[in-house]
Amino acid sequence: MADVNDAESAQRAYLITSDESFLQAHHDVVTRLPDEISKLRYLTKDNLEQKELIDILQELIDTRMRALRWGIDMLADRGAISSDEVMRLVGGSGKQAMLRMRGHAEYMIALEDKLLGERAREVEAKASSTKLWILFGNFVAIALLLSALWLILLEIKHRKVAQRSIEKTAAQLALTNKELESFSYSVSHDLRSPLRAIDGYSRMFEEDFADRLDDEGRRLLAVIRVSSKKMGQLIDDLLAFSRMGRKPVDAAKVDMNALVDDVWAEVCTSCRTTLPLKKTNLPVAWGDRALLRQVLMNLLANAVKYSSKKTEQIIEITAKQNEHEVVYTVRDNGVGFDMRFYNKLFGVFQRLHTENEYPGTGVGLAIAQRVIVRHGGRIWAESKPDEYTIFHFSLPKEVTP
Amino acid sequence: MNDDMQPVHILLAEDTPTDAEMTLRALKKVGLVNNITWVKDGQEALDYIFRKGDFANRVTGDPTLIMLDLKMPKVNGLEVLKTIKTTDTTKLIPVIMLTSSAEEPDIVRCYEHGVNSYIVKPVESDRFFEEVSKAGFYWAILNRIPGAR
Repeated sequence: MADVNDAESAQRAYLITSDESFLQAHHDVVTRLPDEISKLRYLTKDNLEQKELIDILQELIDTRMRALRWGIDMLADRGAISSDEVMRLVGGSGKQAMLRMRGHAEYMIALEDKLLGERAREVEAKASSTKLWILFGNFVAIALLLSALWLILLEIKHRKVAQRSIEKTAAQLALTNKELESFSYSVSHDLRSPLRAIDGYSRMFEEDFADRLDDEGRRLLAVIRVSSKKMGQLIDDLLAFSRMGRKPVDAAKVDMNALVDDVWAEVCTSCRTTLPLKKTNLPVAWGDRALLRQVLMNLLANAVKYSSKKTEQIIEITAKQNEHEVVYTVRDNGVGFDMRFYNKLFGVFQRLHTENEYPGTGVGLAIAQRVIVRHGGRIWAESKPDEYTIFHFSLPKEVTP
Repeated sequence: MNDDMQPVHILLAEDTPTDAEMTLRALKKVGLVNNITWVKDGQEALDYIFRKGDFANRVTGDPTLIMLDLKMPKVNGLEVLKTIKTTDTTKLIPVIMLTSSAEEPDIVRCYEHGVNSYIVKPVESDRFFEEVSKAGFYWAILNRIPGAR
């Protein structure tokens, strides 16, 4: 508004004095005006009513500026204007237009003030609703926390129930195991007594009645005694097997090279000739030395036994290891077994060959499996009849079983 | 045996008749047959030792050596052992366990209660006769027994 005023004053001064400097001031304002208007439009762009009012204001300003221009142009054309003409140009309709413009601008300002007031009230209202929202948010947060707490408590309860159930199962399992152990223990012991009597009384009979027995009588007695000895062996093996299950695994580092040499020396006392064992360097094992000794003893003795009918026995032990375990492998070129009966291989008192072919009670591999499983490892085998038998057993590296 | 043989009286507590008969036969082989009393369970053993029940008026001598089976009805061998070793009048009598059990805990418990010897009965008869004879010979003849009358 002041700009239009300035433009008018400058024009008026120019018209009166014809001084070019006034004209320059007028031009400044004329070039500045569109900027000012667009600035105003930008500031009130959110208000439709103000937009219309600005349109009207612009029209008023444009009209007024055109009138001013016209005055200036006229002066430029004629070189001078009479004071009457100046008065007509600047006063009268010019003055009226200025008044209308000013009134319009004042209305706009009042409208803008009113809008400001409304906005302030709105902000205040928003502030109080924000407080409500914050309260509500806090409430929601607390509710969420409480429900999380409830869920955690519920989870803890579930876990406790599961824990109890696991403990119960473990206790039951321990009990069953204990019962089973004491069962096999007492069966073995109670079986020994009548067995001792069978063997002992056969012997007493033989001693006391030797002179009244013929060859057939002595043969029959011999069968009784051989059978009772055999049964004694079975009971001893069963006891050994049962004991193996109860003995705690006392794990430590075991030098398998030394252990294999030691076992091989013992196995070979029953070999027909000095038999070489092909052995690669074996990694250290983690386990119970006495128990692992038993496993090696059973596997190597089997290898010797089941290859004993070959003209050249080849027995070897090798090992491979990865990040988690060491796998030891015992291989022989013996009689082997039919893989169809593999599921019987590790069973107690299970045999895949007759007693006459290869003597044994069928407990050795069951013991080996039990020991390895108790170490947290696995034992498995592969074979081709009359060609080879390979036993593998794995032991985890440095873990408590 | 020689002339200055110490007088011994052996009490054998064994519930299995066949084991008892074989034990007696094995002891007979080393000349120990006339001074042996055989009882069939732990209760009878205690009655005999302390002159109670059926044995209140026994005429046979007090035992100088006791052989106990571990697993017996009524009162087991370990309980008999405990009573003998905690009674002043009997604690010096040598006690030998003659049992089927080769289990470590059994052996340890017997030694804890003062057993003098622990022998596992072999299943095989040849070894049974040999070992029981040897044990009888050692404990009743070679070994000096306190208070032998």
